[in-house]
Amino acid sequence: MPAARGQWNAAEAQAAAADACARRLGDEAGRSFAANAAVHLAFARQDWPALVAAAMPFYDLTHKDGAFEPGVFPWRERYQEGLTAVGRHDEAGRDVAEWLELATARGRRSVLARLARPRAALAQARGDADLARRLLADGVEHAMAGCGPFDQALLHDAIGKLLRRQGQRRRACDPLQAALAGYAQLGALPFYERCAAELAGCGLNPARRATALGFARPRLTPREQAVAGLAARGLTNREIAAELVISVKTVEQHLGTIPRQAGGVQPHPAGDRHRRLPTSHARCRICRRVTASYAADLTTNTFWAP
Amino acid sequence: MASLAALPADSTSVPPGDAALLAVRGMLRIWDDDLAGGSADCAQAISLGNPFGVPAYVYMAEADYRSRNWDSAVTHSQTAVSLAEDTDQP
Repeated sequence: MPAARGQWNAAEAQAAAADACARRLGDEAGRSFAANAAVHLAFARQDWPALVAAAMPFYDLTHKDGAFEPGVFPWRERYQEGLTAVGRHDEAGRDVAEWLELATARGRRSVLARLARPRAALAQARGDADLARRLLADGVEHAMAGCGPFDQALLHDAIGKLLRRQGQRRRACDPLQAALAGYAQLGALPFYERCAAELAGCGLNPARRATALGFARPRLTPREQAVAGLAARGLTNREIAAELVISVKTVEQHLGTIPRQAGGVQPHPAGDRHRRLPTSHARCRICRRVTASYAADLTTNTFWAP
Repeated sequence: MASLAALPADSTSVPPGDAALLAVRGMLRIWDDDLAGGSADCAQAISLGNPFGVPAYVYMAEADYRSRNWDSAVTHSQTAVSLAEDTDQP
């Protein structure tokens, strides 16, 4: 829960406590709980290599009945998504096929719903975006029957992201807004932030939606919010450009204007002249720091009201 | 589930002596996507003084998490941890 809400210190402490207990007890059930916690922490961060590594203890279990029964520990669909994200497609494909057969035999709709994301990611990685969309749409149907708002939001999020990658920005907005509403309802902050960045990439203003949901409205444009949020997470300009599917130059322009709009740049070694040249801010460490702290402030104090 | 068929369908009709079985049924129902039914079984098992109170709270928390009651999930998780610590069940 803390991981899904972006309470990283609490989430890390709980995962570490679970691991310590599991080591002390030396039993397989304890190891399963600890690995499950680590998988979910990595999933909330979308840290795919860490997620794949966190799932390894499940494969070392002697008795796999519990952990490898669909619906008991919801780690395996995340693991399969992680395998796909790190490029281990063949392994992911085999694991998905085995899990799908078992979940279908059991009629576990929540598992079938969660399986839609790794299946769609695999289809997309193999160049079949249409199949990916169909799989995600099927996943939503299963989720309506067997899942709560979080899994539903994850599926809407994936549909919106896929549509945007296909250049269908307008069509991407509805599922992304549905996902955003689901995340907001639950307080799933890291998921909300990433989804808002996607929506910003569609040219829509997530702040309007946020206001409707009871959050204060920030002063930045949607694209600026997205850039500022990623800068606050420590991404380089190139990484931000790749994430938002925009040019590095556009990122630099936004990073140049954000500190001024935020009213943040006060004493500056380059003086007023530097402040009047917005693009120079983008490569300036001080301005990046101001941008990052402003974005963090937006996130913790203004934009996201717990 | 077949081995639990003798339990009354209505969890409030389950006698205190079967509280542990009721908690197990709740867990299985949650795994089988019956979140409301499973959670009700676990809650009733706790109220009957089930000796497996820790897992019952854990699975209620899971049902809360998978539905929409994340705040309740936090409360049930904390109760489970507290109970486990108090009764030396790491």
